Amino acid sequence: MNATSRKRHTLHSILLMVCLSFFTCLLMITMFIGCAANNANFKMAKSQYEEAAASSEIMANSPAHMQEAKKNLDLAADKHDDTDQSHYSYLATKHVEIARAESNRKSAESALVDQRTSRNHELLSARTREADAAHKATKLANQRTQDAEDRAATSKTEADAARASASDMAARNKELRKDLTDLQSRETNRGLEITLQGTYFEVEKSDLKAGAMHNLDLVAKAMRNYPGQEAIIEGFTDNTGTDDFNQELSQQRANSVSNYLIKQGVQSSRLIAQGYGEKYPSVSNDTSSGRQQNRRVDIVLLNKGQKAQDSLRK
Amino acid sequence: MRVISKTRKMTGFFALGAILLFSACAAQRAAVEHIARADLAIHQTQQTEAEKYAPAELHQAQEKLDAAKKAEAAGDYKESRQLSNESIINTQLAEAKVLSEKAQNNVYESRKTTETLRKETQRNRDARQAN
Repeated sequence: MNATSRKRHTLHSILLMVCLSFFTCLLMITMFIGCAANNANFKMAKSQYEEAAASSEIMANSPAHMQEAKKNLDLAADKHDDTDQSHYSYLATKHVEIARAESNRKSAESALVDQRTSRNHELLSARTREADAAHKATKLANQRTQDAEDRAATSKTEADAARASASDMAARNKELRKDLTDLQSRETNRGLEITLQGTYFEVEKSDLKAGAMHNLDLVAKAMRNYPGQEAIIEGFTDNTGTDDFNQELSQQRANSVSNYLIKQGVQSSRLIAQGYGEKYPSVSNDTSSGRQQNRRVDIVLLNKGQKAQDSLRK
Repeated sequence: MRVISKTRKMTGFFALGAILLFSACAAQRAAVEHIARADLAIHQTQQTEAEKYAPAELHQAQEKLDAAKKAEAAGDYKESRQLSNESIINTQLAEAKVLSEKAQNNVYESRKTTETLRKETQRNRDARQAN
């Protein structure tokens, strides 16, 4: 009896233990299923945290929120209750997001500082360049002013010289004319032209008449007084006779004037004798007095500095 | 003996009831406190241009607060507390986003200014070289 009772008691105990362990298993399985069901939120939070934690920038910029995220993640891992785990996972996720935002803010702030620095640098170098340019421009302007002044001075000198030479020339021509008062003379743009009428020559010959000598002496004297003065001696005829004869005659008459002047001491290099025949009549050949006027030799006392070679009639 | 034991039992029940009542009150008070904190946090966040820069987070915070109030009214104090905390973390996120967005806007503006400046100085330089 006693033995059966003990046996039953043992059986009860075993049954109870089996039941207990069964329930424990059931509970654990339920818990496990609970965890598994909840893993979605938790897993997401975990992966987000790990992704952020891999960034050294976020870890450095927002350590406090990353720490909070980790704490909440650990809490979530410990919770078996579905809503609790979700709750702490949610908080962990949000802390990670805050850490990201904070990190972005700090990066932007430091980028801003960099940019301001580079902008200041840019401004500074722009100002330096501007200052340099202004300096250069000033120098250039000064140089230009100097050049202009130099030019003005030069042109003033030139103008003065021109004025001086003009007045000099006028004075000289006046002198010449005074010397040559007896001669028929006129000022042209080539210089002072003296006309020796045909009456100074033997008819149809190139020999000078005695009366001409006196006037040519005046010319020779004037030319001796003005060394460097060059002259052109131009011979002309009327339109009677052949061209060849007229050309020849005009040339010979010019030559004889030239030769006379040379004889009077004028260097031959200062003289050019040129016959033009019946060309360049000074008046019409229709009347005998006109023809007489056209038979002539012109002595052109050239303006100072003009060369006889360059001043021939074209 | 029996009377005493009865009295003791009664006292025990009362004590148990008082503790339960007290703890229930404490839980409710904690929930209400959390709601007040979340409410204040939303008000503060609204002052910071969160409407413009973090509307989603602000909206989320408001929804969580509403849910926390409902849970408190229904007597789910723990859930209410958790919802309040979730509301608060959303306002924190909103504020962090406002600051981040503003900082990034500043960078953008600054970059534009720098670019304009650079173009201008380049133009000046070109103009000078043309002269």
